[in-house]
Amino acid sequence: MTQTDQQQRIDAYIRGELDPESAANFEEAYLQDAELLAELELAYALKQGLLEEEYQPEIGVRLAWWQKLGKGLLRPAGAFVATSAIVVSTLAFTVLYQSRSDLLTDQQALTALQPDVSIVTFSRLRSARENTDYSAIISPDQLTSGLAILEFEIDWPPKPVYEVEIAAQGQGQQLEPIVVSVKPDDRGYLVLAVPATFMKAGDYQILISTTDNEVPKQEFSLRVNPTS
Amino acid sequence: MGNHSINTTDQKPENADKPSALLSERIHAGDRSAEAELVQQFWRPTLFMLQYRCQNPAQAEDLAQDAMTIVISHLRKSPLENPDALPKYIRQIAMNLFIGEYRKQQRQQTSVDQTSIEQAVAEQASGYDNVYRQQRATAVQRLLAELPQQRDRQILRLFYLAEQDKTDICKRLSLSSAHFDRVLYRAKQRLRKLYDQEQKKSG
Repeated sequence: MTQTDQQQRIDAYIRGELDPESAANFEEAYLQDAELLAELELAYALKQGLLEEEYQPEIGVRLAWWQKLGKGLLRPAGAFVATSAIVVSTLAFTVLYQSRSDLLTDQQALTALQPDVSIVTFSRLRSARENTDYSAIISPDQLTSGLAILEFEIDWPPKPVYEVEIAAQGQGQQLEPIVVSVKPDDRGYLVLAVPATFMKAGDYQILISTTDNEVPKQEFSLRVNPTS
Repeated sequence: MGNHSINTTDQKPENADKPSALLSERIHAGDRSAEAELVQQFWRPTLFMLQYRCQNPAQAEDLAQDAMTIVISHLRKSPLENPDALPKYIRQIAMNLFIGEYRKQQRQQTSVDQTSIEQAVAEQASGYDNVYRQQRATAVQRLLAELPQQRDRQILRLFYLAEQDKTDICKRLSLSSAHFDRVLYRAKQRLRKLYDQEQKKSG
């Protein structure tokens, strides 16, 4: 096998293009070939580096960014990238709770991201992997302002980016499914921002799945407690 | 335990003189240093394989440790019919664990002195990956920082992240196939050089 052939095989593996048998053969090969493994690790590190560079708000930097938001220490460069991500998520979830003609504008979303606005991370919706249920409850004090962050732990086949279909129903409304591209964070969670002000008290069912139908629809129930 | 057994009859014993091929019998004979060698040799590729599949470093590390523990405990009980099939055997164990995790089934339990094996595996494995990972990460950061043209970055992103075909990328960016290959080749060569530098720095 030439050097070029080997590089092409490495790239094909990293890009998930090998059929199961070829992938198995390749894995057996690098299990016993340190040089091949080293080449593979470098190529994979390059991919991960590109991913982290593109996805900075959700890998490593994300939590720091939230903390900085709360403290008013948002850096301009980080703010731009992170704000873009939140704006996209915000707009996506806004569709769930408002009609399409009533979307937040970018400016409104940016206004909502002033450093003095609290961003709330509430209960993770854990998967059945840990034998816990899918439900979550938002407490009243988490609904006062800003954004709530939903974290979906997924057990889906690994991919750098998922095209996710999200639908919701509740409070007598059937909300149209929307499709968003979401990258899992380094824990394997999908993170979506929910404008807290749109979350009226009541029970919601959120349906989430990939658009390629590789996974069955997962249903999450969400109860928003009445604000006092 | 038998459910981890694999059919090794299709394997040729031509590499039986390889040190790795002897590990199976040495471990069965009670040679503890062979267990350490097994972990040293197979930890990194097993971990990489699981990380690639799980996309979750912590979970991959747990599964890799479980895989090593199961392999050693099995080999202590009985050596492989074909010692040359050790990589295939390790891969199969790791994949079983991954699939088991994926299907939310209970993990395989080992009964042979599991705690001591786990401890030994953890000791052997600790530190191997962190150093390499850090060096690779630093090399990648340096590479991305010094990419000469925005287009090079775009090519890498389209190829590795968007997973577009080479043909599509070339068409979209009006590139020749040779140009595309050059960008990928140069990036990897440079990354290799930067990684070597990082390794030298670490002594």
